[in-house]
Amino acid sequence: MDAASLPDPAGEPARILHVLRHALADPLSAAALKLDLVERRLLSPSGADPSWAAERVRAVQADLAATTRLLDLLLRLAAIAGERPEEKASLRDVCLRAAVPLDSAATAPSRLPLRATALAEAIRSVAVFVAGPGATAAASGREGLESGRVTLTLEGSRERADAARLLDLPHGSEDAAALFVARAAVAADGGRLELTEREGRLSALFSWPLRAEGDAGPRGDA
Amino acid sequence: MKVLVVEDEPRVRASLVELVEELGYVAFAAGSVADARDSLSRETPNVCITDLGLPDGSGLDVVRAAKAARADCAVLVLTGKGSILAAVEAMRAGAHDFLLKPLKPAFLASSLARLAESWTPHPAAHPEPATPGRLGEMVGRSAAMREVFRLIARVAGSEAPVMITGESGTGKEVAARTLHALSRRARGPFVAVNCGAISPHLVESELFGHEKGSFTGAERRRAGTFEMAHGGTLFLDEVTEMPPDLQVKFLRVLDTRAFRRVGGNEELDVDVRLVASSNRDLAEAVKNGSFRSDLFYRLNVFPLWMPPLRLRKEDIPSLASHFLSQVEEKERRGFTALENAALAALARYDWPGNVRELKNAVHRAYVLSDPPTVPPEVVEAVLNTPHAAESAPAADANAEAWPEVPVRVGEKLEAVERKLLIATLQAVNGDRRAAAEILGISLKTVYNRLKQYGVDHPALTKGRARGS
Repeated sequence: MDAASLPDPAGEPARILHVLRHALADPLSAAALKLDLVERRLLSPSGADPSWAAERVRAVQADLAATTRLLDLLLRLAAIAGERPEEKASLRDVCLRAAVPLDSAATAPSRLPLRATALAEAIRSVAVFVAGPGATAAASGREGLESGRVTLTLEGSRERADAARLLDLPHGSEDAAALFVARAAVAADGGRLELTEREGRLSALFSWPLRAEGDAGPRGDA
Repeated sequence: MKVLVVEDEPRVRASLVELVEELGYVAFAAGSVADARDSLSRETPNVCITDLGLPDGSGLDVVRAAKAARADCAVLVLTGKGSILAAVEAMRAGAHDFLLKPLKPAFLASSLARLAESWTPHPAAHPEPATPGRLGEMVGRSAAMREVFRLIARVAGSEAPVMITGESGTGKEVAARTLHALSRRARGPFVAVNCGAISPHLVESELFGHEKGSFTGAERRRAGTFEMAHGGTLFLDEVTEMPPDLQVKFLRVLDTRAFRRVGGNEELDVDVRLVASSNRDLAEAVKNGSFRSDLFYRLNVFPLWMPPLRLRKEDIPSLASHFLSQVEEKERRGFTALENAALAALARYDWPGNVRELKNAVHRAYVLSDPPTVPPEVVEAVLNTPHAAESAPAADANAEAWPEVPVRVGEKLEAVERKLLIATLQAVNGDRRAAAEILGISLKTVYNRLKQYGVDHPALTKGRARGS
């Protein structure tokens, strides 16, 4: 997969679909290569060993199962696109709905046009992911304002060295699918989700452009 | 042939290795840039197949490492549709070709077969070594042409698309044919398409072919130019004249390397190397929106500029002698040379129509001279005839040299007339009066027809009416 080098012609939602397309291409490639190999052996004068062929068929079935799992993500993206944004949702309320506690010393609550249900699920899944598999509670959040953007930071204790790739459906990280969906939910409201590594620990940064008074604000276009 | 597979997705990597071995090559694998560097230093493969996105870096790093380890290592880049531009970058960095994911095993097999063949040199693949002053049919000893020869020789071995620019008549198609002759596809077909000369009504059928009964007059299945060029080189002449809707369809074929015939349901894979040409300012065409930027970037992987003849006047004597030999070989009248004073007269002229104009002038001088030599006074007379090389009498003399216009039974007369008018105008660099004389119609009729057909692109209308 090569999400990092993708052109960004139509913003984050288009980029997300490209990532999914890339991810689908891998198991489809693997299946096509195996089927070609089986066909070549079957058509060769010596024929194909049945147990060898059966093993390849099972491997193709596994490739197709991986494809199906990725295709199911389209349903999740469709649900996000289908949700109507709440005009002035409070980020604090959304975090409450996600059962992710916010730092009490946070700034005044921001109100943004957000798909509250999709975002709550996104915040929840990211908080669980960054907290790590052994954590007893999800990571807590901190709301802020940085460079004209409303931010929500979740700092966890999970140790990962490949933070930047986690949002791009890396193979071998089945649990990263939830991060991909979370990223799509944030992008649907014009926001961004970034994962970084601080002192070996994962940290998630959600951000949305701050809506000026009278401004139409970010519009979802998932 | 040894093949290194660099792919971080284990299922794809394992399947690639297995298929490469099944095809009869020696395969070994790496899952990262670091692994690839290690393998490259130990194994020195002939071919490297690499994914663009790797956990510890980019496939571009692998391209550079492969080229550093072995300059003639051919690198095939694996990429998705959305990152074609990244693949183009890889080709600029020295990659041989790219393969789209999901992978089509047949493409991989044919790419590897072609590469394997190139590792066993055969005379036909490299018909003519670069002798001083010649490369294929190209002639020139000037610094500008030596650079052109160097670039053609360099890019011929790769699968990179080439965009040849230069004024009309500078020899862009000859350069494309030379490129093809020196490439690994030399045994395959070379198919040239003039993008500005295809009737809009027939454009899809011309390029993609059609199934029997797909439209009135389609009485049998017909292969399009893409199909005809399969396994070889497709030359898109005057590519900036391609209508906008066709540019979209064309881009889709380039991205998927597959197409459907008009009226057909079957998707056909196509394996062609693209060489395009234009005599227009490409950046300007992109800027004013007449040419899609994404198509431009796909085709402009390796730009090649053909210098105008006025900037390489030292090549005029050898070119003129070459053309004289060509005519003499056909007509056998006993000519041996152009006299020195005749060559000097040719060298003094500015040649706005470039090499094509010189070729026509030499032909005309040949017709007007008596053997065994062409004297200076005949050359002077030819050059003093306004737009001599592009004029109607010259056209008659050179009737064999004009391009042919394909016509099929069943085509509307209007479509045939349109094709002929456009092709004639292109052959005389947009000179409407010359076109009128060649076609035996009035200048007014040419103007009326252009208006009627809605033909308005610069290549056909920028030309002046001779004498005006």
